[in-house]
This record gives sequence, structure tokens and C-alpha cells, in this order.
Amino acid sequence: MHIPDGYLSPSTCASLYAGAAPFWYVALRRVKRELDSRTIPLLSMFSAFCFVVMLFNLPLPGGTTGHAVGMGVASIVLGPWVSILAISIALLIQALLFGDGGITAFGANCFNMAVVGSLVAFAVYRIGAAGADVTSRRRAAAAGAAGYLGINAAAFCAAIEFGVQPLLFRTASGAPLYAPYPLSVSIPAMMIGHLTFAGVAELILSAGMVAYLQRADPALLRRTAPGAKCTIVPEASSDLPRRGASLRGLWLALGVLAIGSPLGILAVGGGWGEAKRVSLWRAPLADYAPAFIPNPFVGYFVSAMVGAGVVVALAWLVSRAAFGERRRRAGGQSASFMEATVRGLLDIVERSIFAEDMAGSMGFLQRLDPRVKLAGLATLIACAVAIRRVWMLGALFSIATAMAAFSKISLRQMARRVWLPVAGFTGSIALPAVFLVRGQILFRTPLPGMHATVEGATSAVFLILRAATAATAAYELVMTTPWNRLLRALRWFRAPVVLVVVIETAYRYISVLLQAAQNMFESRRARLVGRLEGPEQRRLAAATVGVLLDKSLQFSVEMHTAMQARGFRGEAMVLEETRLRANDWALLSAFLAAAVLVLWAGL
Amino acid sequence: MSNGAGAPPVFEARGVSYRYRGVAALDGLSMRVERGERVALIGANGSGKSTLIRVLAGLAFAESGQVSFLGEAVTQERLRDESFFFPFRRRVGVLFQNPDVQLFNTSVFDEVAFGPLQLGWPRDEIRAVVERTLDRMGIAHLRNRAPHRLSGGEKKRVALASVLVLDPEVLLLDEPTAALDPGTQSEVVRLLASWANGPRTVITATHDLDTLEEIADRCYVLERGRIAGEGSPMTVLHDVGLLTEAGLLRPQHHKHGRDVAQPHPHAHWGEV
Repeated sequence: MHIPDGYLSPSTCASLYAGAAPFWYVALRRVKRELDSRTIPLLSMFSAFCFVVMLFNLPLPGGTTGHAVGMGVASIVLGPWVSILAISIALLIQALLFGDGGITAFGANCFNMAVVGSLVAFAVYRIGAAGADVTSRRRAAAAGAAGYLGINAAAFCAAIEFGVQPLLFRTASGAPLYAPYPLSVSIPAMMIGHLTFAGVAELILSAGMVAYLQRADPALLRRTAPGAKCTIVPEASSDLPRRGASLRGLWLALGVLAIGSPLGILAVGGGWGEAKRVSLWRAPLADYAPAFIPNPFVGYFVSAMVGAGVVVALAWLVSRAAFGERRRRAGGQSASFMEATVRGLLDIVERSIFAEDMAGSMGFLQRLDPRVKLAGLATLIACAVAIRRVWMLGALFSIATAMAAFSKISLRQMARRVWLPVAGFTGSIALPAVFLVRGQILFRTPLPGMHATVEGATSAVFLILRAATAATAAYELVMTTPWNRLLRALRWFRAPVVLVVVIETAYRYISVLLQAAQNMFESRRARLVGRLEGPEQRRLAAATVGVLLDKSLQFSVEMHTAMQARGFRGEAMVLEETRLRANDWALLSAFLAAAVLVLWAGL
Repeated sequence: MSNGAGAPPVFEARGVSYRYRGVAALDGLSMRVERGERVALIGANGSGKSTLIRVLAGLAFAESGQVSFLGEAVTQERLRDESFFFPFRRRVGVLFQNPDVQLFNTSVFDEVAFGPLQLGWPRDEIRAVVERTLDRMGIAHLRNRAPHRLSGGEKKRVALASVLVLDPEVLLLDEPTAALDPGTQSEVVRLLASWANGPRTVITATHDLDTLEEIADRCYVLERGRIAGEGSPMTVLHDVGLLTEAGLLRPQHHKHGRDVAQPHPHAHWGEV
């Protein structure tokens, strides 16, 4: 769901930044008005909370695990506006510091997950829980549905953004420049994964956390449901909420949805197909409807499903092959989601420490002022996304690699941390394009309708090179700059002070919450005899998120007190960095001049 | 320790009550601290020490009763007035028990600069003052370090630096030595002792009786939100009945020769 750099064209990225901006503006104004001097501590804490929730490895039925985004949880407890800001800030920290989601695609990711996800989740929750008791089952069910539909709405937006790329952005010979699949493939490919796995993770998290809060701290649920009645809260018999059969119905509904969604797509496809003029849907795959199926809608549907299936299957296979080692579980099933989550939490801490040490060694990039570096490398990424010549992209990739070599970043480490994951993820998405994109045939395969084309191969190379160049530059940025100075550099780009302070404080408290989450899991594991059944695990995960939310709130109150004690009255202030020196300006100009040159030669 | 007849006390609480989540944390408490005094508030967990610190610092407000600072009432309304708020915040420093709560910036330098920045000092002066404070506290080498990469003792020192940078006249300390190893503990006590000479006032909430004589000239013993006793550290430490009542002593479970076999409450202070 986190769209990397290189999948969306610059104009798409710009319009999605523009699409998200008014929501940020309104949200920031509303939040400032509602929270006054508590804005900074609360918003920072909630952003840190969303970030940590995104790291949770949730156990899904069937023994797999998945990550949630947390838009359900956030909008239910905080309301949609705070949720938009908190998730956006969590996404910014992910993109900037952990390379999760692109920098040019940051606006798109915020638009999908923070804005659309929060608004849809909140609307579903409000409608579903209208008139329900604070502690009623219907409220928990509505929360589950909110999370499920929220993330699916976000995924649908992303699918559309992917799907329009090949229609709008192609080379002269017709090779797609960005995400290569039309809507007929991108929608099923995105939705299959989200209707089944990610959606369920979000559902479990939202419903489970609300069920937990209903027992542990119903007052928290009243923030967004002020009129709701609260009947007597039963004494908690254990710290895990018992939900028993109440989820059965949801599972059933889920199954129906998962099976039904391709049918819905068929209906949409048919409708658009009939109009004849709208070629958006049918575009590049139209010719692939196998001749032996006479009904054009059915044939069309089959071809779309085959395309989507190929993409999904290959993505899964390649990521399996590339990361099999890491994903393999120590003791089979019993090495639970807890282990996976704790490992994930530890990995984040390790990376931040490693980065800080790397930033201390003296290399080319380490010597640059953080502001110059941020501007320079962001420009490089933007160039890699914008240009339309393969050789130029290759040159940019080489430049980025050379910079790593001059900055004492070992290429082995770069390969392990950046190139292999890009090859696994983007490679598996790009590979089917070689066969699915129409064009001049490169070689034939025995499968009907599946021939490698020059245009397909070109588009695959574009996608991989763009993603790899952007990821390399982003990795260099975080590995050669102390993270606190990197965040402060945002101020130089005229980001509002209050936002910079919230982002910094959120980053600070991520480490505190990570520690708290890790302690919770480890103390739980120490007391655990035998292994937990699936439903127990899910309840445990959701309850942990609830406890973490309580802790976050408590922390924000205490932090606010500590800030007040040192003269804080609600106004954000930072000590501006010193002015750029002449040679910093010279380097910055050199960077920008090079970018202009690259764009001139590469567009 | 009286400071001439007319001088108002630094802090005075009269009949202060405060409720936290429905439970009375302070219950009609009265106390008084003169300028230059070093006062300890001792009591078990939940006796109201931390709450009293917060109420004195103007971070929580009494439901009934009155708190005054140098003769002037400390109320929510008064603190909205900048001409009272800024001098009050500069002159009264608060060190919180949990340094993770107090360290909310991303680097040690920014942490120490936070207070001066909020009080609107000139930027150049802030840089100089922060550098001086870092040097004096022996943490200049941690300048750019992120708080999550500090040890427990380092965190405490940074938190202390972030308070002392404003050069406060009154220091309110909530468990300054809790959760520190003995070496770091004595170092913090030494830092505080070296700072606290002159006209400065220090009020310390603690349940650590070992350092009591080093940090205080006078103690209040708190029990369930009230003052249960008062006196010099020496008198209080020898009042076994008072300390046991306040939950600050545990019965000693070792033998004294052959004649005393039963565990019995008693203190070991000042025997050496």
C-alpha cells in the first residue's frame, strides 16, 4: 500500500499532493483550535502511536500475518481530522527515515491512507455505531467494518492511481513509463490482497481495540461518540476482551465480499465497455480476451483476472524467494506474531542506531549540510521519477551508487538493504509487464496471448531503475545524516514550525513507545506457557494496541505538564540552524544545475 | 532558618486539597518553605509528594486552600498573565521523576535550549548559555545525542541541565535519585549540593532516606495527603514510630546477637 517512488508520474504525484493539502490545512486549523496548548504533545504522541501500530505484525486466520495502517483505530478514537494529521506524520517519518513509501509519492500515500482512509473509516464507524451503546457489540463490529472499508478504500484509490498511469504516460513507441498495468489489472491486483489480508488485519485491529477499550477505558470511545449511552461497564474478568462468536458473522460477510468483488469488477467493466468511448478500462488488455470465449464481458473478465493473478502470484513467489530466509519461522507456527513484531521493533531501533553511527563517519555526503543534502537528494529522486530516457536513468543510478561509495556506505550493505528488496518487490511487479504489455514481440511463449514484448521489457526496466535509483538516494540521505538534524532541515523548506516540532516530538516518542511495546510483548512471552491459538493471539494483539493507546495518552499529558514547567504556552519554537555557508550554497547550486541538465537531456 | 521578620516565604500552602481521579491526593495540607531552605518531602508511594510538587509548581491547582509564591497567590488565572507566568517559570524549576517525560526534544542541545527559547531569550544568548550549562554539567560531549541513546544517569543529568539552564532560584525535585545506580545517585546529589548554596531554595520529594541528610535541612513527612510530621533529618530519621506509620521503614529481618530473635521495626540511622 505504501507507493514507492517511480510508480506514479510527477504530474500524478503533484496533483495528489495538491489533493491532500487542503485536508492538511483544515485538519491543522481544527486541531489547533480544539486542542490549544495540548496540540503539540497530543498530536506528536498520536503520530508516534500510529507509527508503532503500523509495525505490528497481526496474526491472520490461516497462520499468516499482516500489517495494518491504523486509520480505523486512529479515526475512531481521535476523530478524522486528528487521524489525518497523525497518519500523515507517521507516513512522513516512514518515508523519510525508513524508506517505506516514496518521497515523491508521499502526497499520494497521504491522500490514500491518511485522508481517504480516515474519512471512510470514520463515516462507516459513525453510521454503523449510530445510537449504539458505548459498550455494545455493534460498536465493536462497526469499528471492524470501519477499518476494513477504510483500508480497502485507500487501496482502491491506489489501484486507480496505478491504473491510469499506462493510459497517460507512455514513450513514443508506447511503452508505459510508470506503473505498467491498466485498471483492469491494477484494481483486482490491489483489491485481492486488501480484501483478504490487509483488510482483515485492519478489521482485527479496529474491532479488537474497540472491544478492549469498551472494557478497559470506555471514556476514550466517548471522544468521538459524545451522545452515546454508556451502560454499566462489566468488571473485566481478564485483560483480554472475550468476543467469542461475535466475529463469526463478520468472517462470513468477509468471505462474501472477497468472492463478490471480482463480480463487481465485472459489472463495472461491462458498464464501461458498453459505453465504447471510455477506453480507460479496456485499454491494453482488450486484445487478450481469449478467442474461445464468445461473450466479450466474460472474456474480458477472464483476461483481467489472469493478468491480475499473474502479477499477484509472481510478486508472492519472488518475495518468497528473496526473503525466504528472513520469513522462515524458527519453530514453525509456534514462533508467534509476537516474535515477529518484537523483531520488527528491534530492527527499527537497530537501524536508527546504525544510521547515527554511519552519519558520524567522514565521507562525501556526511560532510554536506543536512539542508543541502535533503534538497540535493530529493532533487535527484524527482529527476529519477521525471526523466523519460532509459540511458539517462542508468546514469543517474550510477551517480547515486558512486555517491554511496564515496560516503563509506558499503555496496554489500546497500545491496542487502536496498537493491535486493527493490529487486524482489518492484521486480516481481515489473516482470509480468514484459508479457502483459502489448507491442512488438520480443519472443513468444507457449502460453496463448503471453508473449514478451519490447515495450513490456522497456516499461519493466523503467520501473525497476526508477525505484532503485530513488531508494538508493533515500537510503543515502538517512544513512549519512543524524536523524534529528534531518527532521530539523524540513524547517528550512518553510514547513510550519508547529509541524516540524510535532514531527520531531513524534520521532522522539516513537522510541519510547517502541520500548513500551517491546516490554509488553516480552513480559507476556515470559509468562506464556504453550502457544496461543489464533483467536487468542488476535485478541492479545488488539489489547496490546489498546494498552499502548492508554500509555500514549498518559505520556502526552505528562509531557504537556513537563513542557509547561519550562515555560511552554502552546507556541512551537525551534532554534534555527545557522545560515548556510558560501560553499554550501555553491554545492546546492551545483546540484540544481546538474538536475536541470539531467532534465534537459532526459525528458 | 527565618529570614528576617517581613520577608514572605518562598512557598506557602494553606489547607490545600487536591483530588486525582476521585481520590484525595492532598487533604487540607499546610506547609511553608523559607528562602534558602533545603526541604525534603518524604513519604511512601501515593502519599501525595508528587502532587504537592505539581501544585507548588503551578502545574495542578488546589480545589480548596491556597498556594502562594513569595506572597503572591499561584492560581490558574494568575499564570495566564504573562507578567507573572514568565518570571515564575524562570525562577521555579521542576525536575520530573521520569526523564523520558521530560526529554521531549530530539537532541540534548535542543532539550537544554527549550526553556530559554520558550521564555523568549535572544537566540545568540541562548546558544551561549546552553553551551555553558552543558560544560558545567559535564555533558558537552552529548550535545548532538538523541535522548533514546542516553543511559539512565545521562538522561537524569540532561533533564537537570534543562532545568538549571534557566538559573532558577527555587528547585522542585521529584525523586531525583530514583532508579539510579548508587554511583550516579551520589553524583546527582553532589551536583545538586554544589548548585544549591547561596540563596537558592530546594524542595525534594523522595522516599530515599539514605540521602536525606545530604539534601535537606528540614523534612516534612507526608501520609495520605497530610503532613504527618516535621523536623530536621536527624529527628525524623530517629522517629521510628512516625517513619513506620508513614510506610517508610520495613521491619528489619536480621538478628541482633542471641537475645533478640523476633523481627522488630527499628532504624539504623546514625549508628556508625
